[in-house]
Amino acid sequence: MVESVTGVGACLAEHTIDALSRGQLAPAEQAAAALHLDACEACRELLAALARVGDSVRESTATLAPGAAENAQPRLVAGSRIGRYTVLHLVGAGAMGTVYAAYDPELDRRVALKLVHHRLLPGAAREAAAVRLLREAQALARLSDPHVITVFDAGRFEGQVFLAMEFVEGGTLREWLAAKRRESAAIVAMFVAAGRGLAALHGAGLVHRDFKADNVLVSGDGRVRVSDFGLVRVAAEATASVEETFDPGRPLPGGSEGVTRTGALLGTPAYMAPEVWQGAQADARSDQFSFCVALFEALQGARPFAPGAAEGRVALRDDRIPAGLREPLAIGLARAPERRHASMTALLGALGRGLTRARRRRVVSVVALMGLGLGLSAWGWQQGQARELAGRVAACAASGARIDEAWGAAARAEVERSFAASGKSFAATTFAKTAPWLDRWAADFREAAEVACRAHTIEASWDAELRARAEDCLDEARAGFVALVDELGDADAVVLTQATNAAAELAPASACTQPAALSSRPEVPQAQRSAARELRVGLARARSLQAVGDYAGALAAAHAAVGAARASGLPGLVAEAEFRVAGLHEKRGDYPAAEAGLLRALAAADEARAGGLALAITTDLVYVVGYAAARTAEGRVWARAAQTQLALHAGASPLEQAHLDSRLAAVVDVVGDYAEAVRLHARALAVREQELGPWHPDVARSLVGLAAARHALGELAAAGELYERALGLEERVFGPEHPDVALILHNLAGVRYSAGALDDAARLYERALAISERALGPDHPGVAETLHDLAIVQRARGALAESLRLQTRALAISERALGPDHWRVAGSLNSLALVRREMGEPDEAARLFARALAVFEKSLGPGHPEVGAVLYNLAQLRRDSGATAEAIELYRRAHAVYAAALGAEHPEVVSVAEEMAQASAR
Amino acid sequence: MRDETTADDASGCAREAGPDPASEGPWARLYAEGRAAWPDLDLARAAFVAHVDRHVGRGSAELAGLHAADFYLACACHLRLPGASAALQARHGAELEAVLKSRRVPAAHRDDLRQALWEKLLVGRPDAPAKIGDYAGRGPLGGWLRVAAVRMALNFREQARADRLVPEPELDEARHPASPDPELSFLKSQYRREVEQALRDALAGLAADERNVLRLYFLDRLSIDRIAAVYGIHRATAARWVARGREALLRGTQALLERQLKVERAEVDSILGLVRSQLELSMSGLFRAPE
Repeated sequence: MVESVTGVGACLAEHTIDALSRGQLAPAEQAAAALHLDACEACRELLAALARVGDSVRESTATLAPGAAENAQPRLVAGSRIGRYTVLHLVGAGAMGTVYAAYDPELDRRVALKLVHHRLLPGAAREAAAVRLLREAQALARLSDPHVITVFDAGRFEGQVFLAMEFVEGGTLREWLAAKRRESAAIVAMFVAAGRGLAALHGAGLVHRDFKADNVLVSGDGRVRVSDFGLVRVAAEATASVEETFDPGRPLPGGSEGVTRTGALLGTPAYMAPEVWQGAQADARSDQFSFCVALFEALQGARPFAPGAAEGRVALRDDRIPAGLREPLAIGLARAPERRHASMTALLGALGRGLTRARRRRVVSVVALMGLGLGLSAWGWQQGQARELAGRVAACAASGARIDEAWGAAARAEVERSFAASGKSFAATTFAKTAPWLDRWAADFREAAEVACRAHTIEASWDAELRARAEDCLDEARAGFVALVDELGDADAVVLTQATNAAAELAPASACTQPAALSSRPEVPQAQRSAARELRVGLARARSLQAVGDYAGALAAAHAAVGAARASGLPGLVAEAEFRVAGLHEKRGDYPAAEAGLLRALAAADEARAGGLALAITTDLVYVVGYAAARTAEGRVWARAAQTQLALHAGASPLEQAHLDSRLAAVVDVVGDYAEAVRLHARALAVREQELGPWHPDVARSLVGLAAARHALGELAAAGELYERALGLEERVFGPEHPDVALILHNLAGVRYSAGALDDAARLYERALAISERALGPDHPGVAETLHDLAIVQRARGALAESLRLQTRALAISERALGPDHWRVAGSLNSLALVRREMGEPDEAARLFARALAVFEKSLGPGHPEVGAVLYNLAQLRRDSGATAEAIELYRRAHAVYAAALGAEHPEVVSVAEEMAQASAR
Repeated sequence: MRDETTADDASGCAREAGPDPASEGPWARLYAEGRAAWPDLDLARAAFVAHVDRHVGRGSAELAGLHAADFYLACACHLRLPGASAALQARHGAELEAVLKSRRVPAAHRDDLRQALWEKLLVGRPDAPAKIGDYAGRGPLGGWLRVAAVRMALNFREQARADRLVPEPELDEARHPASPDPELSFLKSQYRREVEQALRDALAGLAADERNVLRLYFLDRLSIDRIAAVYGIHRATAARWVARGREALLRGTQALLERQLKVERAEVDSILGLVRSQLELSMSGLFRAPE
């Protein structure tokens, strides 16, 4: 580190730098300081570091399970390893387990690691219990709901079971309630959000069993998540297992809360439903009871029943509970489970209606009071306040409910009808696979819109500017969603094949609640706001059209956006619009146009200092320049630039690295650096599995890429295994009849063929063929490809007649679909010739070779190795039939083509030369 | 781990000042102000005067502009007066926390860094007395503390890197790429030297202030707003300087490519795209290259 530089004096003193920042240096001092900074890197770095102080994101202290920390006996210290995780510090300890903050080096992020207490799992049945707990964690990991904390991973550590969960900065709902006096409407809003989480758990067949405000986390941005799954059990698993798992004889743990574990009793007695207290199985209705106790307590300040035994519980006062909520709560607190609400969703609906009713009643009373005079005005004001707040809560709920117009029962039915109308074999499955993505997206939107609204109007943690940005972001997200649903409601075969993918790839609305992401959105002057929003909505529409394969429609929409963006003079918008257009050119295979567009987009993004966008554009350049335009060296330079931007881009997600890895893998694959391609695909795969869960189309893409690279390396067993994983995944995500599944079967067959497992290969090709024929129709060029490869396998197996039949069909399809001069046609002709040769029909073979040669020369050029291959085949045929002179001439031509294409030293070229020499020697 | 040197120094200044000959000087007002601001810190008048002498000189004109209350507190900390450190931590702890949070330190190291910063600031070492003794009251203590903390944090990073105790953050790896990449090396050998020369020429034509702002922009990737805030200039000025500098850099590069290298027009655009994206790298390489 340079401390000072000769000629410009010693490093600037603290007060000089401080005064410089405050603009309080005298002109001469300022000039001297500028000169020093010009030459002294250390001082400039100091200045830069100083600039970053103060606006770093405020980080609230993390709390997951506070309180019982004094009871904890932390067995792990900072630096300890649990699997791949490194423990950072203890967060809290409860009766069920200990929670640590830990670091996941693979994904470079912090996670909450929960270790379930060993002693809770009784000795004899410990192993079975651990297995059950793990299974349960997996059930949770499959559940993706914005109101339930995300479980990433679960495993064993020295016999103990651990869960790796999302780390939530913030506190518990109990702390939120205690922090200050909350309006009842705000309290209900938080509980309704938590209630949605419970409903999601119930929907997945899980029961929480220990719902209370302490087990609900409230993050810094106001999001509510149900947590502490220590007691969650898979509801379907019957009763008896509980007694095995938990030893009834053990004493209560020494916690202050009085958490109990006797027999089936697991939970906190004060919140426990009476039937559970009496030993019955907990279910969704007992969760509902606990929920109502917790909400009652939050509103009233006391629990609904006097503490004590289950018998003789007495209802206490409920005067602080808004009138409209008393009845729904009373029903939820009914002694008999069957008298409670039918489900959490029903309860939440009743609470919402109760709140609105209370509001209406208050309006009436306030109006009546107006006439009574000023003496009561203070009371009226207070009522007005409450009414106003209730109104704001209702407005936030309405804000989230906007999505119902786009994705309600009618829209759903329309999409289902349109899919069915396509008549495709996989239509019903595709609908069943696509609808859940749309459901999840809509739920995510609802939550995001409510969070943004609450943050601004109720919690007042967001200013109007941030809210406005969030609303713009939500409008765009919604426009993309609406456009997709529209397209799906009028689906053709292309749309159908892309539907699940397109739904999975919708930009999530939850990104619209991240203040960091929102403030990085390009700044738009007030006057241009609505124009900008309209433009972005157009882009979101273009994105959805692109996702379902309507490139012409997408291009028209994106072009319009570019024009509008240029007119606006805002570089950030120009960059976004140009990027979308370039992406479409890329999809359509117009790579020069894509590259030019990307460069324009990058220039605009740089000008707007839109770091995230510049990164995405650079990442695409890696692919378009390095792979599509085959300028690999340049592609790698772009990759390096992207890597740099990635490192410097605060807020970059691991998925962006994965995307870059995938793109770069395609480039290194082209130059034959398969080992590097393997490394990149594997890294991308790990990130995607973690970030997107194991059942995402992008995970399948990485698996396929990795498999192809392993295949190229000759690692056939590994490649086969990867294709099989991809196959299982795609069958589950897209349904077994989807054309993409056929594609993987086709590739897997290729691996089996390389390994010499011909029967296997034939079987797989046949499966692929059957799916393709059903999904794409019998005359699709994709069907011809599989027919072509299957025919080759059949020839290798000696089934010449079958091979002939298949290849003839492949030829007919290719000629019809691609035209008689396409290289695929030549490929089939060449294969047919080989079959004829083996069938002992040299004349027919020669005729076919000649046709193949003519088409290859026409389609690929006379110097292409395929041309050499046909010449070589023909030379062998001539040699075998004794036409030596003709054979030698053909060998010579084949050799010339090969040598020019591969170089004279290439082993294949050498072997052609040898055969030529042998033929001459005869 | 009380440090003898500092202690001697402290008591020494208190002793030598002795009964003060000029009890009515401007420092007397300063002392009174400081005392009033920190009634719980019973700092000997003589000790305060000695501290003034060390920094300003009793008769100096600067004396009038001194931040009395802050200076009093710093002097009390320097002399290890009971309660002084606690008072400083209570008053300015937030500043230090803000600095800590702005550093990209893993949470695990943050406590270490906090500990180290307070130690350097208030305790010192035999070879390096407590930093707080350097505060001369010329600006508000909060601002001084912030700059000092950032500098110490930077030094801590350097130290840690030298000791190899703390893994180097990836950020720096990305910023100083060693370029093992053959393609990049090729590109460099083709254009880099010329491009760098063009950038250097363009930079030389700018004023020192503009160069500084450009560095903060390109090298340190500060936004215009942050640059304006830390460089004490108006936002519009910062934006103008950056725009002008960027323009000069690109124009210089373009002219060079077209004229000197005889690169075709179409290719210039492609290379400029590269230059633009690599500008950070080029700039950092340029500024780091030995003159």
